[in-house]
Amino acid sequence: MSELGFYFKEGIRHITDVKGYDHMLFIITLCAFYTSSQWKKLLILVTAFTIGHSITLALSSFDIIRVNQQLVEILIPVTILLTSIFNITVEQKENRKVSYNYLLAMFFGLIHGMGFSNYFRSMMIGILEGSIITPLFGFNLGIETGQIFIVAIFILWLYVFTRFLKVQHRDWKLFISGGGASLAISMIIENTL
Amino acid sequence: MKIKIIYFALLLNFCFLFGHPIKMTTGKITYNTDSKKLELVINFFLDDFSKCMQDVYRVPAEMFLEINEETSAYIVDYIQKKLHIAINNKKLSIEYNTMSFIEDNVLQVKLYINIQKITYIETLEIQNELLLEVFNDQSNIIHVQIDPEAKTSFYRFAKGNSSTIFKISYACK
Repeated sequence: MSELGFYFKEGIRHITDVKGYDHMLFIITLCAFYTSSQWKKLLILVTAFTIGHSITLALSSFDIIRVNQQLVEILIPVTILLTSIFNITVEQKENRKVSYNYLLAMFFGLIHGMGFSNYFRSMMIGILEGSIITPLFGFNLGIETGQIFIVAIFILWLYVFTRFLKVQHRDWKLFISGGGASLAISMIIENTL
Repeated sequence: MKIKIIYFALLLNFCFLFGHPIKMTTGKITYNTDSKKLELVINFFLDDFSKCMQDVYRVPAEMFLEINEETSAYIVDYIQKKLHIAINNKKLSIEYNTMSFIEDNVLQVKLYINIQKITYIETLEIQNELLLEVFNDQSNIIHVQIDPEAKTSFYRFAKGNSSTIFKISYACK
């Protein structure tokens, strides 16, 4: 397998890993805010998250920023918890052009990017030769591809529950956010004990 | 003073108990045309590796904070048991070279395989089961570059996927 292909596969694997589901859980909880007819806003939201995590993944990979691994492991579930709380406490304001949640998604993306970089840098330990650019590009591309896959499946289930099964979006949002918050709290407890 | 020692020992045990969030080893295999040896480099996160050694050999994890004759003997024995390399379907023995601590919490072990008698490498088979019996989510990445003109090959070994064959087709210079 080529270098680009290998890291691309690792990127997809890392974000879609069921055992390390923190990033997936965040994306799902983040997306729960919007209804099925607001899929365009949902995609902008995910793009904001993508920009955020790409920035810190790159900065950390080039050693421009140093990341405290243990701290990030705790902050990632905190982002999930805060997103869950945001979902149920904040009403959508139609007149606002750039909602707070885009900025929040980008800011939380910065934290997730640090988490991605921990994994990426671990793969380089003691064996990196030459430029980190191709592996980084491959890995980031893999993450984005995995993310598209996760969002597509989420939208599918959103349609099934809210359009087909006629579940109220409010209930769907509460259900997803409740699940997200519970799992986030148990992750925080596990990582701090 | 006693309290301090107990506290420090407990803290150390704690760290070794929970180990590293990312369960991974990295490695590289290259061919040295001067010495006619395959050179292997394996990198371990020390906290996870010590925990593994503690489980497998029933020795205290903390002893691996130091590199000496005793600890290196355990480490080499473990690698030789868990890492198998065959060239052209013939299994070869892995010999120990050196080891050192590099970066934060990383143990780097250098090994080699004498392949003076081999003139042509058709296939290289690797079975890598390092730490797989201790951690379910362990993955081991190996970079392989035998022919210096060829591109590096990559493989990720994990539970249920611990062996692979690389097609090399290289005439040893």
